[in-house]
Amino acid sequence: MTDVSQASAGSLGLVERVAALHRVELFAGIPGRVLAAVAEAGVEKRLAVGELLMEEGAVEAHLYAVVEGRVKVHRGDRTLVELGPGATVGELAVLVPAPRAASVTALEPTLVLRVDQAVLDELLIDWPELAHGVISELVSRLRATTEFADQAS
Amino acid sequence: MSDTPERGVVALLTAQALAFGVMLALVVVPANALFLDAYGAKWLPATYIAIAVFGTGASALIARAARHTRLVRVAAASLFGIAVLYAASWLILVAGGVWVSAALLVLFPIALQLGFVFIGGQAGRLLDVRQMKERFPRVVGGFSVGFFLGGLLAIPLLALLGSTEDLLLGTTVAQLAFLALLLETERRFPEVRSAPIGTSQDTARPSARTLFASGLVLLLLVYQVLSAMGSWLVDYLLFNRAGAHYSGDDLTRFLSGYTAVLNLVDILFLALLAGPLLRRFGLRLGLVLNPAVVAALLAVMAVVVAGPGAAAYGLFVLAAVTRLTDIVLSDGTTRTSVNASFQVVPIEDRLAVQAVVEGIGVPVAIGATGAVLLLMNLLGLGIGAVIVFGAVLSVIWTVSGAAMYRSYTRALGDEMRRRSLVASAYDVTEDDVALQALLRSDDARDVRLGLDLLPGIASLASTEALRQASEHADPELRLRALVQLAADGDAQAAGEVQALATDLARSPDAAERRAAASALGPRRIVTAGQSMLIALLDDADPTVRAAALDSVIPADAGERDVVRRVVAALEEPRTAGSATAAVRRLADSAVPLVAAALARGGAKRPTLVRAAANAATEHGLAVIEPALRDRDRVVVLAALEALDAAHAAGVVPPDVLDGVFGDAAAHASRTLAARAALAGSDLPLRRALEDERDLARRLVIAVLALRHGDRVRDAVRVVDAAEGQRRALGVEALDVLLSREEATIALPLVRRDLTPEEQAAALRHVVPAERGLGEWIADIADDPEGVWRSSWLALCARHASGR
Repeated sequence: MTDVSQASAGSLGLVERVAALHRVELFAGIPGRVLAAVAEAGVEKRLAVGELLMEEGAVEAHLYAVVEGRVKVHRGDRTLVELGPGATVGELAVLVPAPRAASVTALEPTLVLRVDQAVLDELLIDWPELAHGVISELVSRLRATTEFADQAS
Repeated sequence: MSDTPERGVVALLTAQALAFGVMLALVVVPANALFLDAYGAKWLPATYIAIAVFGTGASALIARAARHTRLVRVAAASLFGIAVLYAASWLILVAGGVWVSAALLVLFPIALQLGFVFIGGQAGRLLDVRQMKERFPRVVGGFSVGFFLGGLLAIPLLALLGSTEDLLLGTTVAQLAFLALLLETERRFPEVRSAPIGTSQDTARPSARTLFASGLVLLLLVYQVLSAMGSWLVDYLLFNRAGAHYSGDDLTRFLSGYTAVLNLVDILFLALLAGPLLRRFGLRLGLVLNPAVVAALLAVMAVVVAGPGAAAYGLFVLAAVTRLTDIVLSDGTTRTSVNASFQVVPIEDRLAVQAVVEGIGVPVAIGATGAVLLLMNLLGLGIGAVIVFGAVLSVIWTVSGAAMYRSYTRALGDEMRRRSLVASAYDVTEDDVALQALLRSDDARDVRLGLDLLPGIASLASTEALRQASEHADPELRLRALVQLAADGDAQAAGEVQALATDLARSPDAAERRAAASALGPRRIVTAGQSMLIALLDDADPTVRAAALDSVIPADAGERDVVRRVVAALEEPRTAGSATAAVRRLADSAVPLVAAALARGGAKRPTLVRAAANAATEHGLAVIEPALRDRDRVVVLAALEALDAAHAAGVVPPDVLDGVFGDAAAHASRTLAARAALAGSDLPLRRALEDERDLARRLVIAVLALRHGDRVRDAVRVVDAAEGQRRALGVEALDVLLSREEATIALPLVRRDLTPEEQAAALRHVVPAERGLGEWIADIADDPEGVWRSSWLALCARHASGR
């Protein structure tokens, strides 16, 4: 995994980061001036094909917003869902710190932005409507998982 | 409703009104001519009484039918029935039965009222209150044109058909055209078929008493009755004076010429003035203008009678002007305003109320006018008495219009407050048995709920249940039950609380430390509470700190260590809510620290601003002033919203609110103009400008909420969340609540159904600025005049310019 937050080459400027966050459903309604602080605190990560972003069972307190590329959420060899730009992964851990329920691996060269729990906590205080976005995101993820389980059985 | 269907609706309703007008003109001419020829004017008052009796009956039938059948079916059946009556009248007249002309005279005002009930009812379902105010005068204009055309048509038709009776064939055809247009409206706009109440299983049928318990409905009835009485008196005055000055063919020529002028002025007023007048001044003017002008003209007439006398030509001219004014204003402002007022009545009651108010109220008013005139004639009172009576009646009518407007604004406010989730008060003291069952349960969740509900209940049985809960396996529940027992005077429990709280405060388990922190509220029970509180306020776990903050009491105000920690907790997101509440309890002692934190630049923290706003309710403007004067509009907004939430509107001087409002209006105007120039260019900058527009919108709403109270937020909530008619009601509620100057700025900003381009056009007058793309970007990036005041916006502008 390559942490490009300190490398200037290939890294996004603040405006691009905010624009990327605005494309994420969860943050679409938050004003850019507020997201600028989130983007500043965020950490960019570039993943190569097949590189692991999150590992099932790991205890972490941050979510990732997919800026470019594509990732799969999987348990072992079983793919639960594939996600592209504008999606988020790991929201549950930010809300309720617990071992990751699934792993996430890049399917193609991927750029993600990491948002830590403390940042999201602060956003939730000032922008309660964000909680609605979190709930919607979780529900759609649950639906996708249930559909997947139905198809598999 | 988008613009195209709205145009289609207005076109069809106008066509209906046109056919309706032609029909009425073709019935009024033969009915009057045949009746007066056969029976003379002396029997006219009798027809007034008949109008009252049959009009009331017909309206009651329509209202009853409307509760069980769709509006369009009721309307179609009524229009068809009246067409059959016209055809039958023609047959009876041809057969020599001239008595039917009396029936036609009675039918005329009933058909007039019902026609407007049906057209107004359709408009109420297809147009929202804003569209109604703007477009309904055009629909009424169709009626005036129809009436004018019908009068013109009568002469060639008479020549073509050969006799006055045969004009009723034309009446029947026009009535059938009205019916066909109504059915076409239903076909093209099926939403006009709102279900009648009678078909809904959930809705109980409201009685007439229930309907008229509403102040607005009652005032609508009073207003309409007075309006009809005033209009018929004015009619009488004109015909009385015309009869005194002309006779024979001269009288006919005068009436023809007068009617032509009247209809022409009416059409011009409806086409050119009525809509803009109502848009500019709203229902406030629409309801009062007609009666006030009529009252003034009648007062002048009374002076003329007292001076030159009843025979003066000036009195005749004034009578003609008064009738013209009454008809023009009735069609142009009154009818539209009354129809718009009905929009606040729930849709399921609207047609019934409208049918009763317009269909029963008006015929009764006509009957009453006839009775008054008969009585005056019997008593030998002259025209002067009629004028004085009319003037007094018009003053009362004006007052009822003003009262109706107030009632309308109140009803709008009530409608805005209507919420689907309403908290109702409950009394747990009546559920002592259920409470004991909760406290004795094995399930910890039941016991926790029982303890939550317990305060205030001190029955013997619940004390026993509490003792049982104090032995629960869960230490948190055990402690809470012991605290409750100790608070009720149990000395043994107090001792156990002391020991258990001390143990739990040292526990490695955060849940147990949280339980200890929660037990510190009633401090007299835990003697070592102060030191324990400070330790728990410093706990590593934010949930424990929040619980300790919840246990801060007014008596802690003298403890600097506690106060300092409480104010510091305002800056920590997870404890900010509890800290804000604790600051409120600490009152005076926390204020200097909060003010100092704000002044240090902490104004960027909304939680600090909220705490300062709460403190401002007691300590005045100085505490919150640093935030209100901040250059950053986000901080100003946080301060205004916090002051509103803390019910501290009185703290902010009007000039501060004026300054914020003016700045927000200018910022919105500038932002929308820049965004319009940037259309299709750099996306982040456009988005940043949209965020600034939203910020200006929130600032405007915050200022208005502080100026006018919760009603502003209620209306904005409706505008934001509702669609169609209800959203339009929300905009209307704001329109009646705000001053003209406020509404000019606020309405375009609040309405989310407007495009940014439409908003920009509506606010262009605030900061007129025509700039090119490059100029806007440079201005935002460099901000030479210090008007943008946003580092993020400047960054986006620099990004857009490639700097």
